[in-house]
Order: sequence, then C-alpha cells, then structure tokens
Amino acid sequence: MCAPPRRRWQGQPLALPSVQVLAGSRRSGLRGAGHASECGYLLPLACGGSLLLLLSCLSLQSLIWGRQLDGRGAWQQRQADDRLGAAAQRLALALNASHHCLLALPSSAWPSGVAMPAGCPAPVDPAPLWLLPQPGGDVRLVSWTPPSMPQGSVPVAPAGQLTLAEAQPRGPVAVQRRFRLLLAGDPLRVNGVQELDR
Amino acid sequence: MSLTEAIVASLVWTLTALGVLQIWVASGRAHADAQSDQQALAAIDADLLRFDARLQAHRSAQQPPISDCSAVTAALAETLADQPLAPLPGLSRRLDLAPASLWVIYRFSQGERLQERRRWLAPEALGLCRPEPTGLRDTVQATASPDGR
Repeated sequence: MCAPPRRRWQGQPLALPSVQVLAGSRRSGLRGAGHASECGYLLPLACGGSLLLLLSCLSLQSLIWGRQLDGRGAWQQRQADDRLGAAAQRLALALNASHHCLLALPSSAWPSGVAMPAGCPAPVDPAPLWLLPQPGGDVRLVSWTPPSMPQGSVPVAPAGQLTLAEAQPRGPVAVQRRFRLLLAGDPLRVNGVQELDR
Repeated sequence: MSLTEAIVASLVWTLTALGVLQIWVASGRAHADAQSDQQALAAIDADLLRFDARLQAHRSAQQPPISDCSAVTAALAETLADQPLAPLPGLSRRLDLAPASLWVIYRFSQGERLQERRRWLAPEALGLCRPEPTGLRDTVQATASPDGR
C-alpha cells in the first residue's frame, strides 16, 4: 500500500557473510524506518476507526436483538398464560357438569378408563380432561388436588389446586401455572378460578 | 502519505460508514418496535387488570349468583366495551360473544407483524352465574375461538 522506501544500501558491496547478515539486519531496520516515513497515518487510522465503529455498532445491534427477543418472549408468555387460563375455566366447567364425579377426587386417583367412582350416575371418561385443546396450543393437566375435607367437616371456603402446563411448549421450557378453584354450594361446584402464580 | 493511501483510506471509511449507517437505521427501527411491543403488552395487561377488578366487584355484588349465564356474558361484554383501551397505534380490542362465554381478542399490528392475545371468559367458571342443573352437560369441547383459531 505504501510506497517502497528508497534502498540506500542496495549498491554497497557486502562480501562477508557475517557482514551480510549485519547488513541485512541494518537494511531491514532502515526499510522499516523508511516504511514509517513513507506510509502515512491515514490508512491505519481509517482501518482502526472503522473497526471500532463496526464493533460498537454490532454490540448495539446485539443489545437490541436481545431486547426484541425478550419482547417476543413476553408476548409468548402472555399468550401461554391466556391459554392456560382458558383451559382452567374449561376444566372448571367440566368439573361442574359432565365430570362432576371427579371433582372430589385427586387427579392421581382418576380412573384411567371408563370406570367411575361409586355413586356416579354414568360412566365418564376422564381422558378428555388430561389434554385440553386450546386455540394456539393444547394444554395438559398436570394435577388436580381437591380440598382435604375430613369426614363430616366442610371447610368454610373450600378450594382445590389445579396445575396446568403447555402440551407443546414454544420455548425451551413449558409454561406451567397453578390455579385455585374455589368451591361452593351443596353439592360442591366450582365457583371461581384464581391464578396462584401471579 | 501517498495519494493511493488516501484513496484507499477514504474508500474504507466510506464503506464502513455506509454499513454502520444501515445497521443503525435497522437497530433504531428494531428498538422502536421492541418499545411499542412492550407498550402494547403493558396496555393490554392494564386493560385486563381493570376488567378483572370490575369482575371481582361484579362477583361480590351478585349474591346469590343469577342463573342466566348468557345475560351475564352480555353484561360483561357491555362493561368491557365501555372500558377505554389505551390509544396506542395498531392496538385494537374485539369482543366475540358466545352463548355463555366471551372471547376478548387484542390485536397489535406493527407493519407486517401481527401479535394477538385471546382471553376467554366463562362467567359460570368465574362464579358470576350459576345455571340451573339440567342433567349432565358435556362441556369438554375445545374453546374454539370465533375465527376457528
């Protein structure tokens, strides 16, 4: 890039190898000095400045990409929350109606087939409650724990705990939420859904 | 310093400046988008919180709960429709009424990007109404949103 320096030592006779070596080193040293004097500061300055500018720009860009990803993640999280909330209400409706017999039983004790607990009027398959289809992604029932009611006693404000999770998570981890299902009436019915993790 | 060096240096500088300018413009746009995203989310959350507070008030005021869930759903839709939404460009709210449930759909469009939130409300599940028991109804069905999504 820079103009080659004038070779001041080119014409000199150099017979001895040791001197040649010495001359070589001196020559190269002088060439370096000539290079510095011939090559200006503009190109290194431009290259250095460009590199600095590019690096700072790229770090800014990565920062903004990070923020954008965070923003999209927040949207996805809220959408998952909406799906889980809708599924909790849907499950509550099912436990009030077609699957009322399962309300008093923890999900771990739900029959896996069509057999229902004694006293239930009709055999009801609990399978549809394990996977709740929702627009945008299905929701999986993780667990349902009814309020513990010792025989003969009814709590003042009974509430069971419901845990739901995304069946097909969009992120690395499935969003999972816990809900409190408020129960009331005789026979007990779900009378409210509250999210516990908020 | 030679003329060649000056030309090459200015070329390097110009190309870098052009590239950096493009990155800056893209970054600025992305930053603005990210900020609007956050604002829209905050506006929707605030709207839903206000509505939740109204629901709670409605719930405690209705003792005993009424049996006509469709009427309660219609009343909820009316309440929500009256509630002003933050005036953010691209943000809209739509209510889709089903016989005993309500879809609240928020849409936020930014250029070609469209973000959506769908909140489903079933007054019966929220304890706002209690229909007369008419045998076992089959409620295990997908809460299909009105546009089939």
